[in-house]
Amino acid sequence: MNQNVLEVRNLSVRFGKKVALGDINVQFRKGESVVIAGSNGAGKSTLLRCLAGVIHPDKGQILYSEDVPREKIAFISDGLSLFENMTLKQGLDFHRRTFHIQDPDESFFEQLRFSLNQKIKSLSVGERTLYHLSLLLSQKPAVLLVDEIIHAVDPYLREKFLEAVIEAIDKNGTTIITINHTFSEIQNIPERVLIMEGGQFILDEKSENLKAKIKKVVTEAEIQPEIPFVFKKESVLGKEYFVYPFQDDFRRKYAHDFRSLELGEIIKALIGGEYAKKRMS
Amino acid sequence: MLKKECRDILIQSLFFAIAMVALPAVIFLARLIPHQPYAAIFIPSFQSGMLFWALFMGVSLFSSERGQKGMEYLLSLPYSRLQLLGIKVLPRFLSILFFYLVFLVIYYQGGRDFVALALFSFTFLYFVLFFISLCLSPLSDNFLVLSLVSLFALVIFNEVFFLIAWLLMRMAGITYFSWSEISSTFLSLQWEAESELSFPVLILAALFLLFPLGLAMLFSFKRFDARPSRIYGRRYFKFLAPSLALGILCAALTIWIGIDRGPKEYYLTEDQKLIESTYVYTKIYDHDSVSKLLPCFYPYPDWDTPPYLYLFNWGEGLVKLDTATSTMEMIYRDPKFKRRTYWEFWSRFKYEKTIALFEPGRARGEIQLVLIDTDTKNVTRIPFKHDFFEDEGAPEILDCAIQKGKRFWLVSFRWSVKHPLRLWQDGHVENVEYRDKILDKTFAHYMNGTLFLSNSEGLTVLKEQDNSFVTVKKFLKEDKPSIWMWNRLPGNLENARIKEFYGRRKDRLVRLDLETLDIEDLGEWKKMEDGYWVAVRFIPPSEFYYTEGNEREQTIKIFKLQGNQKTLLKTFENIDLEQRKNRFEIFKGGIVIQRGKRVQVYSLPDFQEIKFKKLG
Repeated sequence: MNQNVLEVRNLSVRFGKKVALGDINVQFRKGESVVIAGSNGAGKSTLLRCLAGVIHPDKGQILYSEDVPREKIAFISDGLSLFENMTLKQGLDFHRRTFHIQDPDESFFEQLRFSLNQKIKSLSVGERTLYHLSLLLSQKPAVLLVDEIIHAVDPYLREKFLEAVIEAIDKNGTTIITINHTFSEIQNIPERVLIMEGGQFILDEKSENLKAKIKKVVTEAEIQPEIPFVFKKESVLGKEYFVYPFQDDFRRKYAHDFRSLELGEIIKALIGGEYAKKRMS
Repeated sequence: MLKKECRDILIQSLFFAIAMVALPAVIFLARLIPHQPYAAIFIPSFQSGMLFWALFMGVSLFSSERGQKGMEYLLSLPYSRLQLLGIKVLPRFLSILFFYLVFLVIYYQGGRDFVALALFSFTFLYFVLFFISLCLSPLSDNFLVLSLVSLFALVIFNEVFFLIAWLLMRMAGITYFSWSEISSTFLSLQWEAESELSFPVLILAALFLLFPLGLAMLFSFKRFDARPSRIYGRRYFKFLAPSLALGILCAALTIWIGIDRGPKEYYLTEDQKLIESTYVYTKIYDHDSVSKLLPCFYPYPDWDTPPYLYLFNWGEGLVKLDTATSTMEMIYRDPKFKRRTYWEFWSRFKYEKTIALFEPGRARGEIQLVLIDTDTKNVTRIPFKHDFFEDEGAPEILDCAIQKGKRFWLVSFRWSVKHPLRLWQDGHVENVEYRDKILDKTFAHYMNGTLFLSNSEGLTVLKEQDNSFVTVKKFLKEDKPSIWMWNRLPGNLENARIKEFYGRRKDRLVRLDLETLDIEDLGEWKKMEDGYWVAVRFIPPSEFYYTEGNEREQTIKIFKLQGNQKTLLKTFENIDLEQRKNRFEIFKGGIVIQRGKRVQVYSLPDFQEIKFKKLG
């Protein structure tokens, strides 16, 4: 499972004068599930589009391992891009033919119970998301790239979708790279968290490590200046400091004041910290 | 993917075809354009529709995906960008080709009479428009913008292309074309394949100019992506700029190499100076020297009165070339605006030191006789009014003379049944009617006061009596001596009279006695299979030569014709008559023989070789 399925080297993308990705490097392992988070305009979607081949980087390389052909890379964008004028049946056939899918995995598609004669454009956003995901899952992808879309799906189907994703990881060793801002449902899935800001990675940690390294200290007084924190906010409980990296001696100092955090809260704090920095600068 | 594209294009093509048939049918059935057959409505609409179709097929390369918000999905498909481009372009090209073939079938099945654009120009515009719009289609998401940009690019391409051709032709010394003349003659297929720039050269040059658009597309499309189209556009123009510069250079080079500076043509003046002329320059060879003149002239002057040659430069004016000093001056300029000179060779005439020609008059039915004094350059205009001028335009001057102290010009109308007129110098117009009715359109030759009218009926000979022309003899069809090869004669009323004329009747060489109007047989007139350059040459005032070329023997025999005698003067050997560059010309000053690049000149009637030291 330690085999790299995808390596990004010195990747740069510009939108005119604006730098969307600035010389970034990252590797992804086979079967890994990664969540990319960051503020708006941080470069997450651009990175995902580069990995899907939808955007050509201005500089750098994207190297998939030899056992990952283009047909095994699946991408769903936040714009839910499909040929809308096709019927579901036509879309399904087209996708199978184009991606040379011999033995499609239709288990997820069958659960959705769509009428195949309706046009794709007649589907609701949630339905279209699931339809698109079902197309991608049917190709048993080696890499699944999912832009921020699952918030559009209702809770029941969202659970179904997540089950399907977990199954894909288990059965096919699919590497899942997803952009997400709402972590309540998925926080048990990602093994690794990447935070982006200004076209750069500002954090690349395993989820477990991240949970151990970031703690929240709630105190009425100011914390000591040598204690590093990424974000600070005030609440009815007092001042909340998100301390990173949290060291053992802090545990002794603030024995009763520190708390462990869920992944969603950690990411929110990290992104919030970046916004705070921007405001300061 | 290819299957999907083919299906989409097939459906669109079907709709287009239905529209193309139905729309003219509605116009036809509703009689919106009355008194026209269906073809007259259908074919021009089909041509216009096809141009629209070419534009649509080009600019709609990604419009379907853009319209369906499917661009990201399309770009995530497992195809390289060039594969994607191929898949997109192929069915479109096939559709374009299919409709073009349909058009060709219609064209050659009788549709050519109804076309709005000539076949070549239509073909050129159709494919160029498709190519340009195709190359520009990834540049914008907006269909309307793309269409306008493509049409604008087509106009720019067209103008740049013909500007390059025009500039280079001017640089090469070919100055008698205007920019718009090149473009309009090329697009209307009036450009001759043997012209200064042949079609293959122009097409190759056009391809060099189009090539950069495609090349820039190929290079930039490799990195085509979902970013805003202006980013692709910047990359496209980065590739386009150098390749367009290279394309312009190659096109210019092609045109420069391809410009045919024209074959060398020669004219020997009466005082035995050799004029060499190409499309680009004119050289005058004297025995020891040569001088070069720009621009070029058509080598055969209208009048040769040593040391002056008088030449008409079409649309410019009358040039007097002094072969002694190698200088030239324009002694008459075409007024150009509204009242352009009638430049047809038959409507100008020289007597003594005056050259006469015509300009349109200032009122309907009016014409102006322009008299140019070749010494003083004084120009006198005399207006004449007659109904015939309104219908027929400029007449042909047959002759002129002085009667009772007043000068008159005898004129007739080519390819007309109208009778001649006598134009008096005081502006009076006198009818000189035919005593017998002339039934068919005719044109006239006038020698020794005898009028020869040639038409489909035969040859009618008339003499003037009591101010009208009376028929004195008729040669009907089979007896008609062919006079199409008769040289233009100088005004004979005031020149030495000639007694005879020679020509062809069926397969015989004949002599026409101008006094008795009898025809005498002088022997066989070789047929084309046996003989080349079989011709009678008239050297005014009264000499006639007959040449007979033999292709197999590679010889040309030259005979003198006098009375009813045909006397062999000389046989020239080793002249390959099949070679188009080889020439054999008889002038008043002598004979010029061109064997490829070798030029030899002989005097007449003694056939002494005249040497020109500077002639290569």
